[in-house]
Amino acid sequence: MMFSRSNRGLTLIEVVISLGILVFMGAMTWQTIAGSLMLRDILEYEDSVSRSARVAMDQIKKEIRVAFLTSNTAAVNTYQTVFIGKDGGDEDQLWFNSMAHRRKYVGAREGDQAEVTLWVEKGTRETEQVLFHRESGRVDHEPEKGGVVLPMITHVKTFNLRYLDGTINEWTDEWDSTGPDQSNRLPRAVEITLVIEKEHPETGDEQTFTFLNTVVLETAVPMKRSLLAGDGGGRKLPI
Amino acid sequence: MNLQTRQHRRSGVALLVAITTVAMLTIMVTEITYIARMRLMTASNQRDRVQAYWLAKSGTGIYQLILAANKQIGKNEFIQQFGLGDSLWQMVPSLNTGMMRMLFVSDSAGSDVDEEDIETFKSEGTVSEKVAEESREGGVFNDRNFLDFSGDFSAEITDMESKIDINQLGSEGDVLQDSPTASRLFSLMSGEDNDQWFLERNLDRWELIGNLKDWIDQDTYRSGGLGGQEDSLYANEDPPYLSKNAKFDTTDEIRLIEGWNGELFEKFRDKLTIWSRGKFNLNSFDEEMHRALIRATSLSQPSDAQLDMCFAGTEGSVLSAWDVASFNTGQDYATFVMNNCGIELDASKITNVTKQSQVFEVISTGMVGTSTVTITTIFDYSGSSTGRVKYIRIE
Repeated sequence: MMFSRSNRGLTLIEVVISLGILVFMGAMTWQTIAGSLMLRDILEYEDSVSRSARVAMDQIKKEIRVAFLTSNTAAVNTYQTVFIGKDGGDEDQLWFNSMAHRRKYVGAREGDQAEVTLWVEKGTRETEQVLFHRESGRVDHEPEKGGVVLPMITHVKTFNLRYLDGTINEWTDEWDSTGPDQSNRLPRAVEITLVIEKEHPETGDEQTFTFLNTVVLETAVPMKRSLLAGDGGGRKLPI
Repeated sequence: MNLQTRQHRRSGVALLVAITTVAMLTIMVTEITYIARMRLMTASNQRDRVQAYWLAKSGTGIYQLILAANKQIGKNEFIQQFGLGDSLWQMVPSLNTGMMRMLFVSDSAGSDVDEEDIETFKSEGTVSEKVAEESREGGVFNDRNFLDFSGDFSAEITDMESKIDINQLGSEGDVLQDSPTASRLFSLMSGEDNDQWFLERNLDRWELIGNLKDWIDQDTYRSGGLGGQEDSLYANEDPPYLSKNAKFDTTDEIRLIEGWNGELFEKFRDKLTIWSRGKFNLNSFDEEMHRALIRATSLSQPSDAQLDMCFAGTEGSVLSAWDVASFNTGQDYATFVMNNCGIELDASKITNVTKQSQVFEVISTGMVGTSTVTITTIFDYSGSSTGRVKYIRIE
């Protein structure tokens, strides 16, 4: 039987070569796509960690920077301001009053003052540590109650705070403005260490990201020049 | 179907594979580019915001310098003799680097600011790129100009002694109408326009002032004419709260007071303070505060027309008598008002007058690109030559 050249089928060698080229092209394409997908996952992973940590840190810094304590301490049954930091190893807690509150509704009976609490505990999934933030737009005599609680950041490994005592120029792990040592006083600065531990999408290993910031409290009493210079006018700086 | 068409169909498989591959790659590249652009924009905004924050800080810092110098100059007895003890900060009521750039560019040879630049500055508060670029160029003595930075800041200063300190309401006796602070506040809320404003909203001024006093004072009874318990005003709020029975800690706290959470606070907030310890610097009053003081201390209530005449400038003169007047005591003030306005004041009611302001509010705004940061700071120089920060808000 005679076939025209155009109606003739493919020879085995042609099929093998064309399949080979197709497989090669497919493999190359897949490699490129898989690489791109992996790159996207890694970018998203790193982005999500750094962005959420940065947003959380910015919020914490903004609130701590304008922390305040009232000088009207007589009204304890109606109004109390505090700055209390408790050392809990890698899971510190902080209660304070800030002037960073933003009203969300026109006509709301809220000013710029707020009660704020920061603490770490297990989230709803019970698998990861979450940094929680409580904010109450009205300051009352119960600085640890009321307001709205929202998670700030997940996968928290460490939330550590240190406080600079401006009168002695020393860092401490705890602060209590209701106690005798720091009575109605704010620390001059707060050092915030936030460590996030999250599984890497490619390797599956736990990877840690550390964010460290120091915030100067604007309304705290400025440190004495003698303490800063160590010129003999006050207690010397530790060597 | 002819032979040629069938041949085209067979070769379409390769085309399909190619198109699919290119499409998938395009989607991937587009997505990655989009993510990268988003990251870049987020980072740029973050960078601009940080720059804007430090520009705003610069504006605040410059005023801190001016106020420190003001404090030192104020101690000089020779300068005090001429009544210039508290004049330095008043000479620089505002700073605006955008305006400085325009002045700088318009002064330099071969350059000029056109109408479009002026309109842009008026509407957006920022200068055009051309003006900004020219203003950064160095001069004869230096390669760099002092305006050689990106972005701009504007800052303004006001003293708290030119406002009414509502924290004094708690320590001025039980009868509201006898309180000098309440009386000045009522006068501030008076006048034909204000009378109409309160009438339209069915608001009782003495009740509103009484609510402020009740927030601060130690008793539990309402000071206004309606009587009753202070805390009943807030019992139906969600959640309910109590009167503070202590002084205000921030001006915005006034929003918690019954009747003051809305437009009333916005209308008068610029005239209220909690920081001045009841002192008044008559030399830094604006017209509205002068009117309020005259109404509060005059022996016979002046009409709006009388006060309008009192504050009308002299024809052909840029400065009015108020602009050049200087008051050291309440008696000085009463004499001036009598001579210039024909209104007799009770000088004994003009108390707590100071010649030198001690507490200042500096509002500084930094602008970079579309990012804007405003810092409001209250500095108290009463106990310190370097000033204590009593309040700060960053927005």
